[in-house]
Amino acid sequence: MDLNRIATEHLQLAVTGMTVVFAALTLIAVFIYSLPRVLAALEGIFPPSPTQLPSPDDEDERAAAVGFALHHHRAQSTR
Amino acid sequence: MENFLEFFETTGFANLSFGNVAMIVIGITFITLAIRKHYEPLLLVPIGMGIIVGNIPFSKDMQLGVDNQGAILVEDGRVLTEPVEDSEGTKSWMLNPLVSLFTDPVEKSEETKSERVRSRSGSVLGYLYFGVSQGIFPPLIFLGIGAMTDFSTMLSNPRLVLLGAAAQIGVFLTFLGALSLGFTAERAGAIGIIGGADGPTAIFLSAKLAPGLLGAIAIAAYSYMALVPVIQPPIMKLLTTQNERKIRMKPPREVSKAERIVFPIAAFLICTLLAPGALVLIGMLFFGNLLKECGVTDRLAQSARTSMIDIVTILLGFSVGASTAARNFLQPESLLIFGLGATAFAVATAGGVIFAKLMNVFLKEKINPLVGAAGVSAVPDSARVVEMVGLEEDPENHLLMHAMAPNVAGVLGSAVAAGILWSALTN
Repeated sequence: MDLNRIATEHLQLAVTGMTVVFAALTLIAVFIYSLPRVLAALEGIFPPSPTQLPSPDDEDERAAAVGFALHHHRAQSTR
Repeated sequence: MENFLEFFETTGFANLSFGNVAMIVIGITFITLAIRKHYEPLLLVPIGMGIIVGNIPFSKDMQLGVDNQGAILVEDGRVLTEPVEDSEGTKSWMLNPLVSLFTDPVEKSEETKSERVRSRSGSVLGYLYFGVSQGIFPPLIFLGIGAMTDFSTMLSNPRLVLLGAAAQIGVFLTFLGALSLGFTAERAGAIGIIGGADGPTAIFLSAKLAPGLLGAIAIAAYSYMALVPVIQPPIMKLLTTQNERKIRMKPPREVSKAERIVFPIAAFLICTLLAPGALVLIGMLFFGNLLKECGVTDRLAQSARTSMIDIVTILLGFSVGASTAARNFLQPESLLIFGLGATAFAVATAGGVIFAKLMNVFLKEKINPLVGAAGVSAVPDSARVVEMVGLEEDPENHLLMHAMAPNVAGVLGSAVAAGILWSALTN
């Protein structure tokens, strides 16, 4: 392999590659940094709707309540 | 007696070479390391068994190896175009993504105007290896990784993302090193990506740029990932002072659900608009993460991070192992690849640590430079190593959460680096 070619063409590719990797991750870092501010601003413009779908936690609580009721019912019927 | 001798010639005993025996011993060593030392058992057991299977010699007529792949040849003058040559000069006919494996040179003639379809059956190992040779398995693994990755620590401390970029210096310096040792640009690119410390990315890129080196590169990448606890600590200690290793960092802030949902879509757009070559890997990674974070596809996320990734890991590990037949694998260039891979890993680790020290020159709130070592990807092993080395200096200084930020950023960085090398070296 011609060392001159490595020094020119391929070194250029390596430097460009490293620059693009840094550029991509720097843009992501800047985006992450500004994301909470953007979301806060958006929340001011579009406030969250009061009617929301039940969260998984609500579902779990409901399942626990149904389970308890069934257990209670079976316990009473076997007496 | 004559029949017996004829039969004996078809057995593995008659055709077993010294190379096959050496490779079988390597396969057994991998399995032993996985079982006794717990070095990446989920990978080393399938790879080790694959190596053993791939090194059982058989008669050429039996068509059992990974290179006995099936093909459908459509000779209608419309589907066959020009033969495509890979980096070793092997000609293949590009028909469509499912049937691009026909490796016999075929002359195009007037006769091909008529519609004729010919098929050739392949071996089971050949069909399994199809997912490796065509780069199908690595993106599926990325889907599973995305579905199990929590980007919260990275979202809470964005400056640590840069450490994932700095560690990619190992990829590009090794690329130059491989070129200077006489490898072609495509092969050098595939070898350099070992420094990304990401097995699926290394397999994906070498399948695209240097299919002939895939076995050696995959084995080197996974071996060094298993050896992260051995390779990284001396470099980390060499490049940092005791006081630097004791630096305590602020606990990460809580990240909102909206941030975690918006991030995969936005980060995908940023990465792939800059480096479209990373489209498949990054796309699957963030798709998996969106399934995890959006809160309405829990079943899909659960499948992606459990059953699916397990199945693909088994198929990938086993078929990569089976591709390491001694006649292909035991070559002087495999030793060079292992040497360059170790260099790539060491340079990447040093790159992350040195860049963290450089950042500290400008930052008021100092970063513990040990976390820079986690920029090499190898999730989560390198983050665990950071935690371990940090605890040696200060038993109450837990760095694991902080190290996870450059660790997942390293996954992004290595996928972007692979995309850049793929785009640049195939043009």
